[in-house]
Amino acid sequence: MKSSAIVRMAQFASMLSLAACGAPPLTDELSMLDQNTSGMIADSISGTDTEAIEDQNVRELSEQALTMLGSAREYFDAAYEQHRKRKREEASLLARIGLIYYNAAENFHRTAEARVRLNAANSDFEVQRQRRNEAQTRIASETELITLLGTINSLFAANEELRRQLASFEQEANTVNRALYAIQEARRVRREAEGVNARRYAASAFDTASASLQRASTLYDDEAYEQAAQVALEALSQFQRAIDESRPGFASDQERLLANNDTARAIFDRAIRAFGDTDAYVDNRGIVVVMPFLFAATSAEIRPEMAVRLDEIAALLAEFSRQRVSVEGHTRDEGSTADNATLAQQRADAVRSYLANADIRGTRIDVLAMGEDVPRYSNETEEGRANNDRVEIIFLF
Amino acid sequence: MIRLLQGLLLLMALSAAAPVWAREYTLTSIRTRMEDLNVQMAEMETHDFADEAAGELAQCRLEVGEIQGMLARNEVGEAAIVLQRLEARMFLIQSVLERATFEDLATERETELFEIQSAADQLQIDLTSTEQRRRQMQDQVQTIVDSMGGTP
Repeated sequence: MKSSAIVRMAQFASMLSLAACGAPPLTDELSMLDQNTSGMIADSISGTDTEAIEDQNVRELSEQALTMLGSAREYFDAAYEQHRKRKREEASLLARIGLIYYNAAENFHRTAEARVRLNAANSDFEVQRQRRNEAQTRIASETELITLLGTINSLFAANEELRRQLASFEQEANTVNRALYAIQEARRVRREAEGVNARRYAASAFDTASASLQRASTLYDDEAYEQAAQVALEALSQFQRAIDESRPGFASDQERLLANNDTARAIFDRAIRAFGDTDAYVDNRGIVVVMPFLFAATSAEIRPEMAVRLDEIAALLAEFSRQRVSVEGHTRDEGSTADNATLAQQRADAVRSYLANADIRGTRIDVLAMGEDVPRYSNETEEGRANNDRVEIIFLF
Repeated sequence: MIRLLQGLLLLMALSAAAPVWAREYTLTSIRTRMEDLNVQMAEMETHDFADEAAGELAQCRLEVGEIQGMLARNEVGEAAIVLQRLEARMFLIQSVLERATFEDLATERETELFEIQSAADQLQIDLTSTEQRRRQMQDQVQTIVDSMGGTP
């Protein structure tokens, strides 16, 4: 049985005894002390197992609360004893002291509770602090990763944009090249058409083709490359038709030209034997001998291994001492137009000098700079460009 | 000699007439105890007190004067009672001070705990959101890498 219960039973017995002998009721202080020391808080203090408390401060506070409560009860007993003896003043005085001890006991008890709260808060605070710090660290790490991923994404986007631009440039370059190639081919075929005198034998077709070629060049200059390519291909086809139309008349005319000119016939026969029917032919200007690959790129110096071809020309001119020739200089399409015109002139002059060194008088030789404007071979390939580094020698009628 | 006799008589009177709760007190022991309490009170007065403790301490000072008056009148029994009340009040003051101190500390710490817990909770929400954002971006990069036919 708990001590408070025993005390209360004793009090109850005493009260019965007092009541039996007509004793006065308890004073206010004594009554309050009685209620306090047997109340719930007192029970809580008394029921504390101080030995089980791990925290020394809390344990000491709880022990102090117990001590104070013990003192309060001692004073209750003493006060009650005085009351029983009908010494009301002494009883009240002692009860007041008991109440003070009781208040102190409650305060120490509350202090112990506060320290328990404080300990729990301290402990939980540390847990929450670690939780907060860990979250901060992880957020920083995640943010860093996001920044990195953002950079990667940006790089991918930039790369994609570059790829798109490159594809666009490539497409544009292809379009430009296609247009340029078509125009050059059209020019080359026009030259062939001129060679078969299409201007005369297929005047309408030739004029239509020339107009188309002119239009293609204008479109090219206006950077309308797709249209330029299309129109140039039309011109090419039209020149080809003009050539086909011209061939019968031209062959007949060539025969006619040669038939009345023994010298021309002799030169033509020699040229065919020396240079083949690809590089030697007759047009209305005279007998044309083409000399491809005569110079290195950007050079006006005759390739030594090609000089033998010029020796054949020199031999023909020596044999037919009254024959006049025209030397046309040509270049590939690389470099500026002005530079190529100058280079073409230098090449024609170099051939004239070579022939002069072979005792052919310069007065028999005309020179003409054609530049890059009249390619005979395609400038799309290195072989074609090298062949365009050439001269054409025309034995004039 | 007279004083000695007076003391002996008083001691005899106390031991014979004093109530149970006052039997252990003598004039000398009360004075000795009073000196101790005076020292304690002087030490306490150097601190700032809450209203309740300050009121109790003022009451202590009054009781000291009361005891001294009783001792001067040789009212040892009454002085003993007041002394006991004074001693109880000293415990009360100590308890009031400790309770106020630690309840304030506990409340303050609990407030800090609430704040840091709220901050941690908010950061946890932020972290979840950030992780989600990171996963989205990671997926985007993965998609691009896959479309390029490579591996991360």
